Amino acid sequence: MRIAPQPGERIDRRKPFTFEYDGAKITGFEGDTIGSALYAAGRRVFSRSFKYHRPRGLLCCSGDCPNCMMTVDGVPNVRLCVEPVRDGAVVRAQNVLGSLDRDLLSITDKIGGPFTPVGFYYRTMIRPRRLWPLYEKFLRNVAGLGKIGENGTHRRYDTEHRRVDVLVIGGGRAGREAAARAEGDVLLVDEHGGGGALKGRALGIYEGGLVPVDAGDVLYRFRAERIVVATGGIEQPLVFPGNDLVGVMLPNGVRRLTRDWSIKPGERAVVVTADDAGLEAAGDLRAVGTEVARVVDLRSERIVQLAAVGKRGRLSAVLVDGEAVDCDVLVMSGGRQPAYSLLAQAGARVEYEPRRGIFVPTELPENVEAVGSAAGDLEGAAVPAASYDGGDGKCFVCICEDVTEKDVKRALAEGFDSIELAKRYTTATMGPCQGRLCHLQSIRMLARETETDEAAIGTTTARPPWGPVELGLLAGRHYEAMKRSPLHFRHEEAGATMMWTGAWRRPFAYGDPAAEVRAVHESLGVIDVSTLGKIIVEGPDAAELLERLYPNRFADLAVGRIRYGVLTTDGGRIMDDGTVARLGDDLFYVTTTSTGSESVCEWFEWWNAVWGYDAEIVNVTGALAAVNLAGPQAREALGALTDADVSNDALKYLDAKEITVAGVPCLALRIGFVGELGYELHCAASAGEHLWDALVARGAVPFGLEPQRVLRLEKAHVIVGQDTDSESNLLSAGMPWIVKEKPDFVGKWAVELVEERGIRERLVGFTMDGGLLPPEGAQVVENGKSTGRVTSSRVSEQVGKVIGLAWVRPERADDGTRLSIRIAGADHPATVTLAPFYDAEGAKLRS
Amino acid sequence: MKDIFRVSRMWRPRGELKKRYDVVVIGGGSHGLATAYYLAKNHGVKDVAVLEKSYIGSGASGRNTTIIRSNYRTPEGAAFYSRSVKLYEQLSADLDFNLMFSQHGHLTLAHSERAMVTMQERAEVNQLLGIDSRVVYPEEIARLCPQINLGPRQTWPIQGALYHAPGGIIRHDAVVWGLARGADRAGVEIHPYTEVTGIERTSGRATAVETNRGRVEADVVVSAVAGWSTLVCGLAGVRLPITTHILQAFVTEPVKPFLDVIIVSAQMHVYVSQTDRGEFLIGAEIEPYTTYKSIGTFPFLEYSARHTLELFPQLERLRVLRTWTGLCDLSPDYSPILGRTEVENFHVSAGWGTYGFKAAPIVGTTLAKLVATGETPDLIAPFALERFHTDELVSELAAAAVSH
Amino acid sequence: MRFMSHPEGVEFASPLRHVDGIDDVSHLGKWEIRGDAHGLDGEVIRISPDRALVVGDRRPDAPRVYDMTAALAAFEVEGEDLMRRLTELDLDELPAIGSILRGTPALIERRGGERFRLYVPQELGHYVAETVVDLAKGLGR
Ligand SMILES: Cc1cc2nc3c(=O)[nH]c(=O)nc-3n(C[C@H](O)[C@H](O)[C@H](O)COP(=O)(O)OP(=O)(O)OC[C@H]3O[C@@H](n4cnc5c(N)ncnc54)[C@H](O)[C@@H]3O)c2cc1C
Ligand code: FES
Repeated sequence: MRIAPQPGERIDRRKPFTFEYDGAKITGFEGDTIGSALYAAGRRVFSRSFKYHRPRGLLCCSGDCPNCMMTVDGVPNVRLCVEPVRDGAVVRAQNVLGSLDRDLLSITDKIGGPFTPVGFYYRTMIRPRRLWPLYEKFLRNVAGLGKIGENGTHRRYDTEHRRVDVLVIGGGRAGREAAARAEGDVLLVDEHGGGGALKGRALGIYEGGLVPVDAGDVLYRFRAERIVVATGGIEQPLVFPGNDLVGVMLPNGVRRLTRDWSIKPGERAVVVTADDAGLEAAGDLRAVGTEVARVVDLRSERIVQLAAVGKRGRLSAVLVDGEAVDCDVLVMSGGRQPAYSLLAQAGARVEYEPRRGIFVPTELPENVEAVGSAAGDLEGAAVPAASYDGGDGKCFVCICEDVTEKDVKRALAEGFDSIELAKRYTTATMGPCQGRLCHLQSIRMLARETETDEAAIGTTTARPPWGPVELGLLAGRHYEAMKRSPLHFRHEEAGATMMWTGAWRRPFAYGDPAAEVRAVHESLGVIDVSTLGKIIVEGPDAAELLERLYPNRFADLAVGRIRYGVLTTDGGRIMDDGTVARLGDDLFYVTTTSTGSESVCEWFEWWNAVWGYDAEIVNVTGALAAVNLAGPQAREALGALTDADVSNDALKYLDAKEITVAGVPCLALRIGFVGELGYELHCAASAGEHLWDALVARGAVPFGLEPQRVLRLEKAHVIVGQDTDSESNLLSAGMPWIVKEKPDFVGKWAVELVEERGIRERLVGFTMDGGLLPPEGAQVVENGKSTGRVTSSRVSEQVGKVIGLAWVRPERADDGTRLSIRIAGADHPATVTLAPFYDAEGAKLRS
Repeated sequence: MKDIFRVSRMWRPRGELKKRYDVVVIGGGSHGLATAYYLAKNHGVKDVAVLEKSYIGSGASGRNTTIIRSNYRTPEGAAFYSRSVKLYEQLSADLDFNLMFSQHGHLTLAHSERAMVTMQERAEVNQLLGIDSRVVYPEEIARLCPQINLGPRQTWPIQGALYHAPGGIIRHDAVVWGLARGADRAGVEIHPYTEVTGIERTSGRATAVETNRGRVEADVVVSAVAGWSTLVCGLAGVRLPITTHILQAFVTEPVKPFLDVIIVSAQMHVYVSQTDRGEFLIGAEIEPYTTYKSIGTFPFLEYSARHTLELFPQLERLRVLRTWTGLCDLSPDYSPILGRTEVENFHVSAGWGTYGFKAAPIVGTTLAKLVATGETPDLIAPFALERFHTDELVSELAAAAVSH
Repeated sequence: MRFMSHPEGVEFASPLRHVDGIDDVSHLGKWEIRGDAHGLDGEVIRISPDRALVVGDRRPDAPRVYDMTAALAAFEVEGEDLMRRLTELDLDELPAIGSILRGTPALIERRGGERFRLYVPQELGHYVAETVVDLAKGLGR
């Protein structure tokens, strides 16, 4: 019930807001939360508990507990006591069958108790096994709180980086004073804002002074030189029968209802308190006209019995040492516990102080400081009992998970005798409050029951985040790095189907891949190969560096010539491949696979440093566009666009030469990955489109990756990473000719080892006897057992067969060996073919 | 009202350490406890002590995301894990303890052509071994998991998946406790808060361990300490080709059932399941640097959230409740290291990376057999430590790297 | 290595040519110097003790120079607030090389007041520019 305007109230009665709750229109004022407006409108039950479906009402009014969670605008588990009112919000109860006031599932509270002791599910529903899915379905349906909406809300979340000298977390008195004292660039954050503080919740303190702050729709990632934690203390509940009844509140609940929102919480109240907070709440209650019938100050009064009794889950009376006092509000205050989680997570230790009955942080990390209550600056509270007796109502240690005193005792009796085991077995402290209102209580109870002390029991590990945080906020804006070739937009304009290869987008094909294959074989095609890694190696030691990196020779490579190279790891595994062109005595131009450029560059730099060579390694991948012009008409087309002599004598197979094509200076590499006469042209990325357009205008048919894969397979060219894996070596991959006799190269010992003990598998080409295409990944089988696998397979019109590459046992790797390949459950014959399927002698390439 | 369930102790309170046991198992995780349990149950070897430096299940066994499956890439791996899944299916009944093994199915998403090939390969290998595993395409994914975002607005559209119907999740603590109870009842002694600090060898043979509670002799010593393997094996002078990394995971607030199957995406570095409690359980791949310190990182939360939302945009407002980290002992080929070492009678279970929980029963049965009979079971022969000397690796890279 | 340089008489196709609302300066000459970069003309940005980027129209006179004009997209943006949504780098310690947008490498310099210039790998230029425009919207721009 709302009372007359109060001095200091936080609501603006001139600004009403109306929202919908279970079909009814509810009005609140600016400054209200949905929770306070509902309370003012007479609602007392806000939720049903996790396991027993007991009615629960406002408890802390600080967003710490699970009691006021409802679904707002389709978003589950919104804490109403801190959710500002807004027009048009649609608020619904959750986790109830029926309504909040009549929840059919509350049957578990009445009869469920004896059937559902802690951990009951471990001991039941074991046999017969086939019924478990049914039981499980039921369990799943009753568990969980709110429901996920059908669609996301598509809120905009942003992330912002900030650097400060000092970050003060917590805007209470201690925090504000610390901020005022601090020097340099100082920032204060507080969950509730106000007093010049940034409104937001620090989620954790991570390495490097990183403090992420949840500010609703912006995530601030603070980097602070120094962090001051002033998160205060958390009001602690008392443990007694009926301590979860609707009407039982913490002092802050009363404080906010009365002072901030000018609401009279009830008619008649009892206060049981271990500190001044309860007494202040008594004052607040009186100020709004609630009668305070009885105040128990645990510092001066020793009680043994304390119990709350209620009707239909709502408080009706409190029993104190045999005396029953009728009331509808009970303020309980078990003193405050330093909110040390951020500190513990930052690396601080926490230590139990028996005199004050609290855990305090010690041994703070160097850049972190604690002040005020968070640091343990809390005096004047009595240490309450681990629990109070009285009546047979349920006595909750953990309200989030509905864990009672009896559950804890039972867990102990069963042997779960450490805090970590007891926590896991009872699930106490594992609910939405994250231990704020139950951690200390669990420890106290274990200490009492095991007849040790709290220090011996110890705390559980502090686990971030400090406060639940939305996935959307953590995720931030959605963007994903995408690499585009300089010719990207030409492909899009031509209507190519694009696909991912690593972070690159590349054309799969422009139309019919088979037609594109045909164009290359019969006339002229052009493919964008700008994604190839490109590295310049220059310097007096460049030749020597490459000589030692590669298993084959490069020191003897003539200027203007190209050689294929395969890089192996120091374990002799195939790592990457590409071509190496010598452009000058000290100058090499190396290409790598599309995904390999960075790792190969690092690899070169690393060995260059290890061996102390004088060679510059420059990754020029992005600087250059590259295309492969291939087909029988390639020379003619190129000749028409350049003044240079591109005849077969002047630009032989495996020659490299700088020429100008269509006004664009290019490095022309005459190589033949796709099996026909071809030229790779590399030029400045910014001139790529110009070159491409000129080639297309000359009749070159753009072809995509898919046709290229068919073409290269016809030549049995290996794709590193597809046909090889992390274990493949040069000998097993059928490339012994790469390995040259020389004093040393990276991975040499491994090659020698493999030579000595023989290979265990071998990569071979194969043709299918029939026309069926085995999927890549199909297994080579012998007697129903897998003995190999297909890594590449395509239908080749040119060869007139289904062709592919496969790993087989070395004993089955000879030319002409018959293989069985399993396709869709049946075995199909194939034949090993060691020579390339197309133009085995390479005449076309040299033509 | 009285409880209808009798209070019965799970295990005896910790007793005094004896001077000598037939077998000492180091590590009170799922592997150590399973080894002890099967030693007693299958071989009648009962003079066994499990030494655990903290509480039982305090290591990766109590921190993992409990995915159990057998759709591995290599025939050796698939056969091994497949046997383990079968054992898990019976384990609740064997232990008379409900481990809550829910075989709701497991989908490994492929977002690229290359990934589809890997899925195909795994499906083929699996099918040859009789494992229920096949490639499915978006229409069927939509049926198996109607909630998933298959829309074109995805950065990495889902092209297909490997569907493994027997894949599921289990309650990890229940596995630890059930095995501990079973072992305890069979006579095994479990010693929590007992840390092994030294391993004695006499002429190339392990003979005793040193602990914070004194020295204990043993005929056979088994190291089942996963993330601590390099340290503990180091005590015996055994060097392992293992690097130790952290792996992180988190849960959200509980919500009503939304997701039945387990979704794994290597491309997104993320996997998502919903527990019986209603929490979403989300994990990622290991952190690339090596460490023994379990400290979580914030970027992990950020990218996991981002990738989860790419798959399930509806979860935007779902809140993360708790994150944690565990240690992972990663071997070069992503396969375990199991069985004998060069120190006689010192056996090891290590190299479990991010995938060892599913192996607990098979590790337990095979190691127990090795200890009791001195013979290495065929199923684990490919995983011998020796393979790194003979260069006979069992590469699971494509199956295990990000999936669990 | 003439093929590394953009030819005269051919239109410069900037990687950012399809992004609206960005101040594209990709065409500026950019040269990577290996070795000593003292006493060079133009604007010299040191990357490491033996590496520098020179921005200017003419090829610097040094023994090892690589033309990176086409390799790097470059654009300018206004506002520290926007920069803070792009990068964690200390904006008082520029120029610097670091990561923007969760891992894209960039070279950032301040061009006076709240104006910043970013150099990013050409192949990522379009993506970066598009994203920057989107992030600016989040600030109401
Ligand atoms: C976050 C995360 C998610 C995972 N997800 C999955 C998954 O989904 N599926 C899956 O199959 N696997 C998963 N794993 C891996 C899996 O958890 C482990 O491989 C498995 O639990 C290992 O079991 P264990 O019993 O060998 O080791 P642990 O459970 O780690 O037990 C080892 C024990 O040894 C103790 N110990 C260490 N040193 C000593 C010493 N000197 N003396 C005495 N005791 C010692 C430790 O305290 C610990 O309790 C995950 C791991 C992590 C961290
Ligand atoms: S009453 Fe809202 S969180 Fe406690």
